[in-house]
Amino acid sequence: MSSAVPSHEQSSPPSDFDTTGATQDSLQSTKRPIRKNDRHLFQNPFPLQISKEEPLKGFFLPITIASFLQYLFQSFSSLIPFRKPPLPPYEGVLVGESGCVWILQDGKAQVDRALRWEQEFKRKSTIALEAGLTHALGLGLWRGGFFGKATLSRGEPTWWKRMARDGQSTEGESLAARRRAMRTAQRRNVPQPPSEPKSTTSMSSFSDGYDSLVSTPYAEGLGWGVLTVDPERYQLTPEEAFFLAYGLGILAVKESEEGDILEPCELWSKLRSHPNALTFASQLVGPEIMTTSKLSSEFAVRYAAYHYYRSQGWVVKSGIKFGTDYVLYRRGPIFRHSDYAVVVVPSVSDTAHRDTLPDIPARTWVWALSVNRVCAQVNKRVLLCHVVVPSDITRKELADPTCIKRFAIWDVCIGRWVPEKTRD
Amino acid sequence: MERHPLYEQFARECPDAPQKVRWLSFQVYLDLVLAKEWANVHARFVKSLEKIVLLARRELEEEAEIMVPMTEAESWSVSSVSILFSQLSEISLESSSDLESLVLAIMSTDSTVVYYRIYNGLVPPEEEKER
Repeated sequence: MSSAVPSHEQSSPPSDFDTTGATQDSLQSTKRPIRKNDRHLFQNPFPLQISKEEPLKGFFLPITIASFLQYLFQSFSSLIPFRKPPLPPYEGVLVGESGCVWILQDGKAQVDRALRWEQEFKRKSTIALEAGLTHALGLGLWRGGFFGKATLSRGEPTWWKRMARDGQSTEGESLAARRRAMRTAQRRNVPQPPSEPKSTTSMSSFSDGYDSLVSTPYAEGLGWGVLTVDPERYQLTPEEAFFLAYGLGILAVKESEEGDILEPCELWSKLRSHPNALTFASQLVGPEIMTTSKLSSEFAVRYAAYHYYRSQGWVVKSGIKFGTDYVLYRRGPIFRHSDYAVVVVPSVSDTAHRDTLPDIPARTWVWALSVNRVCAQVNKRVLLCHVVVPSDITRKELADPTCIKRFAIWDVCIGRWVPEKTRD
Repeated sequence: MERHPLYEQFARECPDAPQKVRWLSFQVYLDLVLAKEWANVHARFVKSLEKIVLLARRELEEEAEIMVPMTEAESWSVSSVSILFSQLSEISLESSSDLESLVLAIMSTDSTVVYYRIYNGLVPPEEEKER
């Protein structure tokens, strides 16, 4: 792993934190530097690896007695009564009342379970089975499609590493903090301390540093002492959790740590009914007619948009920093800044045909321009994703996840066009 | 959440808060204390607002800021913000004067927290510093 901090892009893109438009400064990007084995680590678009040598199911010829017996066993194993299917490799628990999921990472039991699942389904998951690291399981989801995010970092769990290395860390968050400090010092014309990270030759010192105790400044103010265990957790948004649990089948979500695993339909209704769907509960008591206002906080609509972009290969992350619902990355947050910012607009179609234009809620130009202006400053194009819900959809249908098959998606990209600048 | 090493410290400061408001404030608490490394953060349950607000200081010498955790989906308006100011000025710590500004800590479902400062009333533009 290279320890120097390279400038890895030919044209330095504007950083996520820079909204003043000063993009071409000489300081390096706040993104985590691309490391040599990144392309290898992040080659999987999803947390599953499909091996190239897939046996053709219909034409399998058992060659030896042993393989014949194995073939028989596997074909009929599902018919054995009382045999529970193996548990998915990842396990999560619903936290708070908002439908978010924390990945449970208890160590050895999880590793065993993951291996058993991989054996049964003949699929390799990207579960990072690095012994001794408590957050390794979340890392597997990050490496396989950038699902989820660590609670104290910008992406993969780096809090422990950053704390242990004090000011010399080369993680993206530490670089961002150092750059901000440099800029404030520059603005105040204060002589800056040398800020380049020393080239580290002792990379091995922190591979076993996970067991060491961490003392941070806050400890003195609050009188806690040191932390012996990593306080960072790996969190999934409700859409990501449902996609992994239902779409890919590699996540088992529990309601509480001691509870049972939720079935997909139960999970769906839990995610739809969380109290953050503010007035939705009261809207449920009205007549069955579906209106756009009823859909404004409907999880099925947001999930449909998420599922649509994910299944096309985009990496979909939260857009709260840009005032939109989602942002789309082509490969992932560590490679390039995102290209599109998506605003999900639910709409209701009056006709049964999917080809005619739906009834789109009226918006003012002020709204469209303000969203566009914020995103243009950070070099993103705004995508209005209209999720069209047929007007005859019933509450009963919405309670089942397959209702999203009845939705249609129209996406429209809006951008400011300046005649002088776009002459060619 | 209850097994988190820092939860006990947090829960001790707001024992009478209902369960449903705890997780949101706990997440913001963790972000301030661990990720942003602020020196001093205390939790306080405000019954009239049904929220646990945080009183936080970046450095020990600074004045405490009031952080109001919110979710992405919560709606707010000018009147709801003025209610916030009126209810929170009663619990403001040191200064006896009216609460000048609040910080809204808006948490997204993927655990990113964005902070926005809101002032109570008009703020005159800053004086141009001598260059």
